[in-house]
Amino acid sequence: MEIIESIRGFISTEICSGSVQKIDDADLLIENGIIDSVGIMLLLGFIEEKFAITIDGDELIPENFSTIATISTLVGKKIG
Amino acid sequence: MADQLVQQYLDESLASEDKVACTDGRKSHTYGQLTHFSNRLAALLRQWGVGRQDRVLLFMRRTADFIPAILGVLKADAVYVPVDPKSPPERWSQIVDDCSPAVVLSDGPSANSLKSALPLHMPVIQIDTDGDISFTVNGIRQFQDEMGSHPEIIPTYRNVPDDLAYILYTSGSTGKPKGVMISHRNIRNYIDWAVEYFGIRSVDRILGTAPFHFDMSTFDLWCPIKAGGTLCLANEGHTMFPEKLLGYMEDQKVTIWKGISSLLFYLERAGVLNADRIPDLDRVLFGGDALPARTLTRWMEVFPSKSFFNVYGPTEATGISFCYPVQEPPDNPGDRIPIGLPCKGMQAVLLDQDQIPVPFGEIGELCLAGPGLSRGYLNEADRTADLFFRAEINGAPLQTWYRTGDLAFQRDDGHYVFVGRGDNQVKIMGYRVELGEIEQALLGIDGVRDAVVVAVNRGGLPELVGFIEETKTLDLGQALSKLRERIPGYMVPRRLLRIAEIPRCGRGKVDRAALRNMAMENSHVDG
Repeated sequence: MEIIESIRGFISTEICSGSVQKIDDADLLIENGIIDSVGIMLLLGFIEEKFAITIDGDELIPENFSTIATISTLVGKKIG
Repeated sequence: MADQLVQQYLDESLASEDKVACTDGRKSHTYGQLTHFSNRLAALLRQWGVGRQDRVLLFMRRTADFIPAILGVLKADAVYVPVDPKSPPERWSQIVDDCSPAVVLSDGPSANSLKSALPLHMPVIQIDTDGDISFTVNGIRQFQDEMGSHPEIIPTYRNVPDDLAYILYTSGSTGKPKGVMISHRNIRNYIDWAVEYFGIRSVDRILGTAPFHFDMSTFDLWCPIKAGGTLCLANEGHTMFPEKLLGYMEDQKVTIWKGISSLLFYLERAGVLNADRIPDLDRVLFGGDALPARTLTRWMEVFPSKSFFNVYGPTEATGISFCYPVQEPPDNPGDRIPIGLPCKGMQAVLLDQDQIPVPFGEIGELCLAGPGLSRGYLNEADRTADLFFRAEINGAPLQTWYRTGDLAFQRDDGHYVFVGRGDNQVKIMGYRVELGEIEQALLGIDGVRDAVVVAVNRGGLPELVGFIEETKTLDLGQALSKLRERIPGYMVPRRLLRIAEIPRCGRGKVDRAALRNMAMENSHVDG
């Protein structure tokens, strides 16, 4: 829970500047324009710093970044 | 050659009719189709009353259809004005009000969202290139017989080289975007030079990653047609995911790429650079912002046989004004990569505040003259007169110079080095952003007494932070939502912070350095 809430918090407040009321676990982030090319760079920086992990190029794919749930799963797997 | 028209690149092309001129990975158009589609579109535009130098607003997605669309507009002697479909309606309204388009060109139902920004009578032409080209005007399908365009009419051009070819809108400090007017002659000078300098040939496949409403795309759009090569358009799905972008470049066998520096930074940071990747790519041009030297070093270490060029040029000078072919990786990670020397025909001078050239080696404001210079901003005579001035400098004859607002110095070897801005303009993903435009948008929100926006560095990327003085307690989330209705997403501050009083230095000037420090200390929204 903590991972997913932390990611939700960052995306809500710092990537879409609080303009989206609530982002659900399964909301499509890219299709809905919640995350764009600037946003994904910021998100990557946040995740790597917050969870002390490195996201590799082959993990930086749409499947892993489509929703808050998939991002959270990826981070959980990396933390082990 | 520069005394000709941009669309004549296509007419003069030696490429065979069935060669692919542009592709977006899904849809491709051959040189023959480009000619046929653009002739049909020009005929339709003229039928709808579009005349010489009328503006045509392009509200289109990022597909291969954009290329026949702009060619059709130019063949109708008109001027294309690309807008970002992702911008908020208020910005479209400002652009529509400013350039008064004769018609709007779109490629699908996406134009419905534009309707609210358009005057009622404005024709909206939707183009469809599945099979042959077809048109729907104001929702009514047009049949070719009714168009009277059987057989295909080859347009006679009435425009002249000093006529405008396009208008691009960039951020304006007064709170309104400003339209930079670019002529056929401007583009021909730039593209003729670029194709020769970068050795672009018909075998070349050029990757396009820059948005069409951004001047970096001028290179992508016209170099392939001039050279008889192929444009390979990448979409945001590619540029957001480095693996996808590299895969696309490999599939398309891309040979040349002019990319925004931040995208090169991102690819390196994502760790996808590998010596056995993108083997066909041999020329990499980067610009739009300063690339960290350590990023360039990494690219050059992984790909020692590729050529790298740092390119520089403001929208007001059409394209690349300066170029630095990088011979060796930078010595130190903290070095600034030079922007090099002025390109053919362009002249540069570094001036002090009194418009006197600074002594060699000192920092001054970079001013440009030459055939790339725009004639200025649409409907903004005062601003144009302020930034485009006529002067005799360094013994050169009286001519027009453009003040870029960029600060630079000359190294001992004569190469120029960009060091920063003299004003409140920042670059976000290569986009020019005037902090004043965001501040004006904030001031338009009920309850905001004063507002200042600063840019701080966050992990190598600039981040916008807004400070507001309130007249009543505001919901900051709602304030940001309102901002998103007025300005494009990349201009919306990532954070808003309340402040009792904006700090000021002597004479009331805002103390931006103090605000930047405060922004760095407050890493989270002060709800």
